[in-house]
Amino acid sequence: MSEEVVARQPVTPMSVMAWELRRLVADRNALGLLGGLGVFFAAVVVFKHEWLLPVNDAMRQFIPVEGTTAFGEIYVINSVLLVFFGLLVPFLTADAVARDRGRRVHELLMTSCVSRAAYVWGRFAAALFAVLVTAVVMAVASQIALFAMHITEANFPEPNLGAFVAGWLLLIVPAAIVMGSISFSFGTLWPRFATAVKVALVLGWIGLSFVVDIGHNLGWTWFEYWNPSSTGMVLELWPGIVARYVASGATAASALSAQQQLPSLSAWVVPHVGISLIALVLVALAAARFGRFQREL
Amino acid sequence: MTGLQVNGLGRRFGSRWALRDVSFECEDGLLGLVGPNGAGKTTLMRILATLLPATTGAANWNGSDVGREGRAVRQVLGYLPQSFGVYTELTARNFLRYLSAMKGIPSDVGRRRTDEVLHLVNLDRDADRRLGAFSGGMLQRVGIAQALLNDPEMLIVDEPTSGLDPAERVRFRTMLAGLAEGRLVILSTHIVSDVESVAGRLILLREGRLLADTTPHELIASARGRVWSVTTDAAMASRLQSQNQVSGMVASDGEVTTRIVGPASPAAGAVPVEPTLEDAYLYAVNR
Repeated sequence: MSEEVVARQPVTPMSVMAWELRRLVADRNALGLLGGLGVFFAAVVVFKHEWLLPVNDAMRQFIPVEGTTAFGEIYVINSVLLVFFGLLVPFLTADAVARDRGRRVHELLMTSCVSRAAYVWGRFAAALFAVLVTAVVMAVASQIALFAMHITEANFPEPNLGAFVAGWLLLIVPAAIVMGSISFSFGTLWPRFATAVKVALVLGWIGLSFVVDIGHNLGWTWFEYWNPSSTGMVLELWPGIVARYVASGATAASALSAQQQLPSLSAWVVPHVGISLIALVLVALAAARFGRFQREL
Repeated sequence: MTGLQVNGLGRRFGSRWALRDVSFECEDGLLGLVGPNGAGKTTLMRILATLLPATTGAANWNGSDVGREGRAVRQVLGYLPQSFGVYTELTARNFLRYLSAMKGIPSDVGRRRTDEVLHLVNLDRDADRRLGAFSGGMLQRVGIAQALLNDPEMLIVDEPTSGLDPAERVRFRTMLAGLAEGRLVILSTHIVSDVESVAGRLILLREGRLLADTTPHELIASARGRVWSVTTDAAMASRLQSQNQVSGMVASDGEVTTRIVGPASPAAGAVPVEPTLEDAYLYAVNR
């Protein structure tokens, strides 16, 4: 054993995050899981990448929406990818701190020099990073699937990557932050109930994504923008596409060209940034309330 | 103020006091903390390790209040809990480097310290194996290695030998005795033989209270004349066992030699014998 005094430095959230990511990468299952998710998302997109939407209220005329046009890419994200992605996030984040108690590593960490804030924020950052890596895998897999369909189907346009990236940043990233923050915070504050937190959030996401379109039903237009699942977004954008389609002659060619122009998504920017920031406040609260002490022992 | 001062320390869980009004002081060396299960040893260790707040009293390490200045105490603390887990997906080396980073040890120093503690616990050759493939004894050695990463001034080890085979236990005891030079090692156990040859001082706890603050020699001396050996047939031995505190029984040629701890001779023919530390411990906790 060396005789010198061991130098010590403050433990930063960045250091906590880096080591946690290193641990995640060392897990032999992680790569397989990520690959499996990629295959799953690609398969989902192959299964559902084309829709027929009504041109008028009488529902007598429909035009096809192709998943690779600018509007179609937003549609794919909004109606397919985001729904499954939101279900996945709680399982990647709720246990980020709670897992240490279950594995009984908690006491080793809590008697080290790491501060509660650095530990909680570092673990959150690592969990969020893992979620975003999953989102990137989902994005790449879906675009590869769509590109494969473009090659194999003569009438299927090339994927509009610019629209997809815009949709990914505006829809996927805020959803990751919101769902990740909520599940992480509750899982951290009540580690014994981490599973219940996951179940509640999954049910909540299903409710927001499928069951109730509260904004439309109650006339709360603001909810269309503030809902993290972005349910109803494509319905909000659709009249603009139809107007463009009609103005350009209402032909098959104009149906495609009307979709190729990315509709304005600016109305969602402030609400989605806003809900992301509000969700991050929950993480700050979890960091402040997180106990080094284990009263239950 | 140097060393550890514990003043009137108490901890209540609901209406039950797990630890009550415990006071003692100590400096460098190996302090054995002994007592039966439920005596409050783990509660005391958790308070000293800054994991649990005390309900009453205070503890200070080199002038730092363990409850209020936990950060300063954790800088110089090494802690091995009774039951701990590891990240089984990591190798022993990477697990220790992970914890050295959490202890605030700079990366280059942490790398060197990891090699040193791996060598100290004789895990050099297994350093790059995943912890999921380690035996219980090897994991226990990883546990002590992590507690030594920051070269702690105060090393707290809670029941470190439970689950180890006899050879591992002896090796572990010897290692802890060697570590007690220049630092305080608090070794909690209910296996008295673990501290017999290595502890310079003993703290006895029973039902959350301090029963004795003594040395192994003093404890043995206190039981002198209160340990008896009696050789009888099996039926009588069984009767003696049900009526007295028995510390050992040896059967041979149809007879049973029973070792009994008690203030008075338990039976005709019983002879007083020199107490062991285990006899003395039994006498103290069952008094």
